[in-house]
Amino acid sequence: MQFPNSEAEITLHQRILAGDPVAPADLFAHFVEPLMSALRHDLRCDSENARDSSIDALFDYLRSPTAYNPNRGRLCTFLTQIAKHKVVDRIRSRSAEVRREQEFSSFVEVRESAPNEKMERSVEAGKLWGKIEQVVENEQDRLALALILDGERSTEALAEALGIEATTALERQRAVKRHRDRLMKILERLGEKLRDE
Amino acid sequence: MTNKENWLESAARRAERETWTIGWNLSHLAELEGISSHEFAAELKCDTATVQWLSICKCPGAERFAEDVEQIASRFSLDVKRLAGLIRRANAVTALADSGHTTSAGMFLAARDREDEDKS
Repeated sequence: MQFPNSEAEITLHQRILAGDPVAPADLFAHFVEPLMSALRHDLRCDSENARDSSIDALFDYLRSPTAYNPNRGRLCTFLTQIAKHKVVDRIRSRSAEVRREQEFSSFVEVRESAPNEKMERSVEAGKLWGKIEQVVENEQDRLALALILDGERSTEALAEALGIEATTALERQRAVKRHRDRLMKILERLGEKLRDE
Repeated sequence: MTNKENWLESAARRAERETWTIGWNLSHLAELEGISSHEFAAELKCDTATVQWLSICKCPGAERFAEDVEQIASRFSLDVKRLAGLIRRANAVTALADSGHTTSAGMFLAARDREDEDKS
């Protein structure tokens, strides 16, 4: 579906300025689908974002139609610009939301996996953890070991447990690997010792 | 659900946040009477999609109410009297809500009953 031609656009704009009660419905009928197509094509955004941003753009225009000046360009261009801003705003807002959720879930994962919450569920596990505590004195190492034993593979979670503050993701990944290898060696040695006993 | 129905429903819902729309006033009425667009559609003898189109129309102003209602009714093939009655009721509820008066569902249901009696 394409945008109406410039004559039809001007007529519609004049009807909106004149307070025609049906003009807003006509605006939606002629502009929502071409706007959605333009947004999906130009910004590669998802359908939901394209739909909601198109609708918001039309309501913005209808709230203050005098903001559009026909001498400066086509109504479809004006509306597409507003809609594109709306898409970007939505993406930014969603990214911030996802970031907040990830931060929260990493925190929760670390808390839930704390040694005394998981390892002491059985007497045997408790005894084994006691042995680990004897050889691993550092609290951060203990927390990281508990996470590893609990099956945690996330670099982020381990980095946080180990207190690694690397500037880049690659550095963080390398540091976590280095610590993980060190802790696994400690476990190996402990395993050999327990076997000998 | 087709693409059009999908965006139309979203647009109608979004219209409920715009004070100049019929949707704004209908949402107040729906809230007060505890009814949905299906009941509005039944009252107007149309489908729910028509109620959604109606929601994104500009609410008729007091100065040219009859003219605007006729135009809307003609566009969506609705009965002028039924549409005028619904819009008046919705406008009254919204005006009272805006002025801070508490409204009771019973009062407006009674008003509608009187309206129905007048029609019959």
